[in-house]
Amino acid sequence: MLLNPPAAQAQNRLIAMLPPAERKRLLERCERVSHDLEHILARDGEQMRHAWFPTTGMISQIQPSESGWIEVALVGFEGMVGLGLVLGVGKSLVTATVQAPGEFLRIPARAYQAELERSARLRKLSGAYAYVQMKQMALAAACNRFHLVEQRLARWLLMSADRTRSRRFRMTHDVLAQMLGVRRPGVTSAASALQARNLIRYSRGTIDVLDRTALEAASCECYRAQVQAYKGLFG
Amino acid sequence: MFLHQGNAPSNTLLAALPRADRARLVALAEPARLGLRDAVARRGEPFSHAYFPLTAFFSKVVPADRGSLEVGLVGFEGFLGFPLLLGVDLSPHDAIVQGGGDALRIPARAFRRELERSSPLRRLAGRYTHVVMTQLAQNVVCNRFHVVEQRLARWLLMSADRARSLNFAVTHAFLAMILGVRRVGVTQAAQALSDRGLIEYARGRMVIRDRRALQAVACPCYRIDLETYREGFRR
Repeated sequence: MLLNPPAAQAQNRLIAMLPPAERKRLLERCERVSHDLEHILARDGEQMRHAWFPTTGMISQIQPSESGWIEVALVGFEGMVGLGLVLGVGKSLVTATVQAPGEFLRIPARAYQAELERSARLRKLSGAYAYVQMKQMALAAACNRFHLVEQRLARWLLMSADRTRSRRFRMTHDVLAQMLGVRRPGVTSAASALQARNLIRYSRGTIDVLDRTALEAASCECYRAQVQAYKGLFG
Repeated sequence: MFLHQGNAPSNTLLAALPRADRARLVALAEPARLGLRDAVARRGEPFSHAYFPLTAFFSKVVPADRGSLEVGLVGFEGFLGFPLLLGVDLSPHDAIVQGGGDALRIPARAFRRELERSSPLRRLAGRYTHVVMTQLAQNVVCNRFHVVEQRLARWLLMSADRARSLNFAVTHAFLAMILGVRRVGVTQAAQALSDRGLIEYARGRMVIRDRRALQAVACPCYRIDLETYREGFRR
């Protein structure tokens, strides 16, 4: 079970699924940008200036709160950030930060909305992705309530590995703790447990996934459910 | 309190439509009287109808390891079936009647045609969907960080708003199911609220005795949800 990446490395799957003429038109309005880890793309409640279609980078959608921050969705080459624009509101639902450095296709908000008006296929793809992301958020609500940190960490690593097409990422325990909405010692002991079983290796801010199959077994059902939610609509 | 509430039961979204658009939509609708626990949508199955609650309200639940978890409530302030706006026919959740009463329902296909035709309807449905997704992100926070007593208080306030009443039917077993906790946890939390004179609970009926004090006990999510809604519909 894995998300299917688009054929070319520097592509976004939603854009790749557009008919050639519409894809070309959209790409002409896009600019390729590279961002570093933790760069903030949009803040919750603020007007969105762009929509982002990741190609090699990955974006974490985070809900800030007085009790702590927590990740509600992860977005890579399979998706986009800019649902507020799809819904005609223009404000960012949540805070979007770069979770894996890389490249993103960025399109000005107005240009994207004009394309949405024009292209039924883009509307359909964007709407379907909004649905998938809503399912991902509903899964996160249940997952964060019921599942153990170790299961959730395994899920998060798998989701990240899919989206970065890589088995190695830079990641501190502090950031992981924030994504999972737990204290740092909780993440440290979960990571140690996965490491002791040779599923991952963690050293100096780099995590390597060593045994993907075993990591899937260690993850909660939410990993699979989230892939299925996507594949159900996008194949 | 929640929102504007006229004397005649109405739905806020329908009331906000321009007269001609509302008349067309209402002409497609049929009244439905719904009883407690009726299922109005099932997860993974096509929507038969879009529902605009008048006096009824629905609980949207996702399955979880121990039963299920509520991820949203929808009453007269909203509608059920936003995936139809996104071009997806399938219900992402189970939707169960939590407050018996009346709703207007429109066959899914007719509703989609009307969405195509009426830009005010698209705009309102888009805004409401944005609100729902923002609230869903807040629910991820709530389920992770807030204790049962806070969440119970929040839920009672949300239900009272949608029931337009401080007195409504609910069982501890159902509360445990939607809050994703054991029944004993709900019983203890309800007892604590009852000991302080905030609520009274007897034979399946909940009476809110001190709404203001209950608001003070509830997690900030109650207030944040209201603000999200107001903000979402501000011109």
